[in-house]
Amino acid sequence: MGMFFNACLCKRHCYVPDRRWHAISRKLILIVCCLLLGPLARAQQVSLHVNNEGLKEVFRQLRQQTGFDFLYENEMLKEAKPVSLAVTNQPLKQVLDQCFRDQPLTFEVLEHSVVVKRKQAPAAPQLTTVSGTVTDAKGQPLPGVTITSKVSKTGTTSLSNGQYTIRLRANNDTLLFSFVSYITQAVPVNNRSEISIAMQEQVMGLNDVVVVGYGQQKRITTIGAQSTIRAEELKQPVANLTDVIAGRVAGVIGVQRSGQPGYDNAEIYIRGISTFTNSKPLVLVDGIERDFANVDPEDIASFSILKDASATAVYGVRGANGVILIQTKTGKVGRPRINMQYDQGITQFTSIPKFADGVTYMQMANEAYRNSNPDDPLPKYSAERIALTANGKDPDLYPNVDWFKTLFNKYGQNRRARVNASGGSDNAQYYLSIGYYDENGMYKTDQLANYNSAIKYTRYNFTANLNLQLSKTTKVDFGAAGWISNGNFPGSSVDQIWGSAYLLPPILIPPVYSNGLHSQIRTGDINNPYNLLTQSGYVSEFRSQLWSNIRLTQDLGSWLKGLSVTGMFSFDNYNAHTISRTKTVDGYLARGRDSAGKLLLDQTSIGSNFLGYSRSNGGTRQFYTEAAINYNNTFGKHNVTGMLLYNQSDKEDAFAGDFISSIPYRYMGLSGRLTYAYDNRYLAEANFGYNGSETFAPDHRFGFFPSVGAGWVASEEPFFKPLGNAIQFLKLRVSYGLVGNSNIGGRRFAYISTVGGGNGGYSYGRNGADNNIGDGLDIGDYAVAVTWEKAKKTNVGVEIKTLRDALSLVVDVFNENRTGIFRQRGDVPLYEGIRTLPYANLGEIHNRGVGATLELNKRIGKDLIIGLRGNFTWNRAFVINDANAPWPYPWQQRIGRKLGQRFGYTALGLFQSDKEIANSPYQTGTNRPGDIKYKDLNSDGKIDTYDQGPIGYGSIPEIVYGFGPTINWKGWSLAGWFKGISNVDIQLNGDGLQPFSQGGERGNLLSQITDRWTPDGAHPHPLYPRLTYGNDNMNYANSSWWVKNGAFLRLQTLQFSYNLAGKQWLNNMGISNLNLYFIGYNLWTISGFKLWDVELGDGRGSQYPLVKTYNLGARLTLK
Amino acid sequence: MNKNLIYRSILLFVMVSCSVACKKYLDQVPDDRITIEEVFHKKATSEQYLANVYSYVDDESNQWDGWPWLGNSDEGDITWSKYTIYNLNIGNISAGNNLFEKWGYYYNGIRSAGYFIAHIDENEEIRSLNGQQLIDQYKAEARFLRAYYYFLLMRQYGPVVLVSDTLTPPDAPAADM
Repeated sequence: MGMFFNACLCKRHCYVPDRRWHAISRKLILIVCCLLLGPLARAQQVSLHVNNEGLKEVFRQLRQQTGFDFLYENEMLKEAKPVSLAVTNQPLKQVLDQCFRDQPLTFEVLEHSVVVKRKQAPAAPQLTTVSGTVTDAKGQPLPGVTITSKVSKTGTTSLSNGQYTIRLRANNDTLLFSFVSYITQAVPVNNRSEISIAMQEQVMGLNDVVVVGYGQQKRITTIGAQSTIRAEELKQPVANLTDVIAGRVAGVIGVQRSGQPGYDNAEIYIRGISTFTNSKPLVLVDGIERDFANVDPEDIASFSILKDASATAVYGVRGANGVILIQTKTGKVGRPRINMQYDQGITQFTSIPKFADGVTYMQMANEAYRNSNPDDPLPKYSAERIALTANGKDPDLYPNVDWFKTLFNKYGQNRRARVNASGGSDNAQYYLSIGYYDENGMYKTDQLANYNSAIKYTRYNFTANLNLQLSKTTKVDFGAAGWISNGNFPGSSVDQIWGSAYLLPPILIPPVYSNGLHSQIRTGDINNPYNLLTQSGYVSEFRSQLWSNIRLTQDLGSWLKGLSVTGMFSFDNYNAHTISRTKTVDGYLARGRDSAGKLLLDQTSIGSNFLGYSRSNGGTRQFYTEAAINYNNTFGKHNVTGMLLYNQSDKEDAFAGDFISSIPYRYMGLSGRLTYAYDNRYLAEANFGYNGSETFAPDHRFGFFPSVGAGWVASEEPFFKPLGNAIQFLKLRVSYGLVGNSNIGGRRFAYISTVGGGNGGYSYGRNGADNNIGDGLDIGDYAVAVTWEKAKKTNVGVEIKTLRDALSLVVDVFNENRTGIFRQRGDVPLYEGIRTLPYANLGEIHNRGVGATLELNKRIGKDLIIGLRGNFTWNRAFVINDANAPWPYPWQQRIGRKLGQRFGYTALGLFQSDKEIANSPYQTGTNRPGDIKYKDLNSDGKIDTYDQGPIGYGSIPEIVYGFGPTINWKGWSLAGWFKGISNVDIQLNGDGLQPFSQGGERGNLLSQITDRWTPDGAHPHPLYPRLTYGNDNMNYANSSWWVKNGAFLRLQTLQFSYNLAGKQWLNNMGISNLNLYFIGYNLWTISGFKLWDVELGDGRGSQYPLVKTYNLGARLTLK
Repeated sequence: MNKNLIYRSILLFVMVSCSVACKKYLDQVPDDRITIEEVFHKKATSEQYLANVYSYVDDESNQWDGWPWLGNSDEGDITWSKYTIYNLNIGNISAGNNLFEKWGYYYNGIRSAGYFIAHIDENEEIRSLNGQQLIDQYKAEARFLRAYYYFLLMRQYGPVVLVSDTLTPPDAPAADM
């Protein structure tokens, strides 16, 4: 649009045709005039009296008085506001200032005229960038801090190294830093481009929340005993989450008995075992009972363990064994953040047992044979044979095989990859994550086989969490997660393969004959381990799990402040599908060579060349519904919360084999909680659960489980303030309550009697006639009024923070009386003739213990931060009633002793002379010097089962502890974690450990066999007593000789990482944070037990050992 | 406000309907299996029960772990330590190490025979098909078996406990048994 240049020389609008020429010429004239008459203009005095007049009129009056021309555009004046002014004899400029004060126009006074201009539009917003680092009071970087700007209304969050970058439109903006449990800070920008602050933690974490049963509570007012494990600590390079948690917090006792990929669940007990039946804790993922072994630790936001009655009473009949609560991550408001991670490494066994080589085997066999058969002049294995085996020239006929070496490679490998994205707006937040884990085990494979028998495990995880804010008061949370795993294993199971290595001596057959045929000895149940591993086909397992849940929360604050109602529904589905394609292989045994040197072979077993096929399926599905009302309000110093919740669950086995297992497992219940806190100082809490399960008899179906607790935060008291420098926080709490256990094992529907097959059928008749009644019938099980186990729990706890919040200590002491344990009655005499002993709720166990957690964080200098965490748990359970008949002698009584106590003979040492044997109580079999001497407890002159008393501790540890330092220096970080157990032992028994059993031809030997008693006393404290060929005496009976101390300390995690952030080249690639790390798992173990991996437990070490890994990886965050 | 009302009533409805379905939800008793009363109402099942009573008669040729006589004799030297008679051979039998445990085994048979004798009279089907004579015959067979089991017990153990004709219920306290 053209511009109309209007000169106020004439009162009417003039249209100037040649605008440009006129404009330029006009300006030239003006400039000349200005230069000549400039001073004149400024000195002009005017008077103006106008009231709501347009600028046009103002200009007219001023022109009249001054003679100045006013140059303006008509358009501009349309935007102008009317002027009201009364001034007398003021300089022109001043008057014009007042006219133009609130106008969107401005003016410029020239020699003889005034030019009216539009005010410059505010300059295009200058985007300035402010960045910096957010740390906490100790200097540790704080990720996730929300930074918003007041004026520019932009926002961002800080990264994992605490750094942030925010764009502002004005330099006089203010930045707001806010984060949960920290004091929000407002920092004016003041033209700075770098603002780093340290956030102060809110005193006592007043608003810090912890996850509790069915909700959240403020940390300061919780009364229940609970611990949390940081999500960072769970991120280990292992597939199974259960292996990582034992020893990380006080109260969790756990041992891992196998390292086999896909089958390496650890046994987890919260505060030890208190029952004869099932001691597994209840595990809830996002509020629903799920199995957590395969949850990807990257997706975990919080991991809590609830231990005492106050925390678990709301779970009623499911809570007696403790509860583990896992929450998965949700999205946060902000731009999308993408994290990626990849690492790869090698794996090794922590330790494997060593077998004796062929020469040692034969020498020991000769010695044992001579010991047992002193009259036989010939040795078992001739010197010639030993020499031929030693020189190894003919491995087909004189083999010398270390069976473990034929089975395992030294190294395997594993790797992980993960991607997750999260973000959201005020109305919707999301979190999406995908993970991948892959592990190759260490089994060898046969390259020539046309199938894959390697041991390999792959798993894919995914998690999607969506939070929608449908309105100010309505919220919907949806989560869908799951995993798929694929395992490939050889056709024989781990037990078979390992067991066969323990059974087969090293000198009988080579793994494979030199002409390619497979070897097999004649004894039917002793197999060639190499055949079992590589020639028996393969098994492929596919498992998948889907978890889904949707929750609706409605805030009813408009009715009653603090009231809200919520409902949830969840569906879980698990499927397992196994395909076994197995075969056996033709086996041969060499009996010599012919004149040409070719092997002469006998066929010892007939196999097949083709793989068979068999399939098995399993699966479960679970529906869970929950509805709750929550109330949370504060009146002055009083804070009251309440909760009432109803839930029910239905779980079905989709592939049940019989009618009883096909009936769904159901559970329903009502629970509630009421808490009261006065001034965050005096705390009280009451919980109850009222629920039932279909396991119980109809009259005993529902149970009521209440609990109460009280607490006192002493450090909030006025009288405590002077001590505030020494102790910053002191809290005492106590709780008492009743919880139940419905996972009682035994027979399902025990309140109905059954009819069973009895002792079998009977066939009768004279020769030639076959009258057969194939199946017998008899009473199977008798009906019993089955009900749940009850546990009365008491807990006293103390929490202290000192050294200016650098040191924190939590100690809990607990006691539990569990009654009504469902046991098969052992006190029914045999002459009653009852076939299957009835069950009854008669068992009783008392458990008590102590748990403590210590945490230390110290900042040294500007860059160095040192942290130390440690925890310790001890518990001991006593059997009060085990529904068994009393034992004849007091040392045999199980009642009053530790649960899990071992019983056996007490070994006094080895016999030193024949005279000593003659003077000692009678022991069965042939006893000579070097055999084990036992203690005669009842002094009846003979050693029999009446002399078996308590020995050792038991296979579940009483003491579990862990500790670990973390050191941060600038971008470098080093973290370690040690885990240890104590008061535990290992019972050695089994073929392979016991040499030359069953007549001598059977069983391999451990290399420790040379540590045995010899007449010359070369081994003063041997592992083995006098060697015998066959077990013709009591040396291998269950005794304290074979119980070894199983305590160990293990470096479970070592992590060394370097953090790159804020570098320019990273920013150019779009990466805001890069972390390179090395992580090692199970690197180092100290233990007195050297035979095999000490955590495997009782037996002969024939389980797949635990795995050590060394991984290198990188983690990066994209902006 | 309207939305609040809707959500609240949905939740209430869910909760109420669940508490109404309370009893039924957990009530899933498997009640279509055979019971011991039914066994004695039909002929075929009663005969199966009797066959079960007969089945406690063992095969005396099982020398390894069935009968102790070979291990006790002087004619054989047993070297295979896997089998129970080996322990007899080396003298490893005691009050605590109970080998060839037939005590409970025969008493199971005695109890089953006693139960049969007490309940076979209820069987109307046999009575209508074969008459009272078959019931009497079966009863007599059961009585013989019970006496035979006592004989076998006495042969192995010596003095035995005679169990009364009325059977003690299985959930009686231990003192009553």
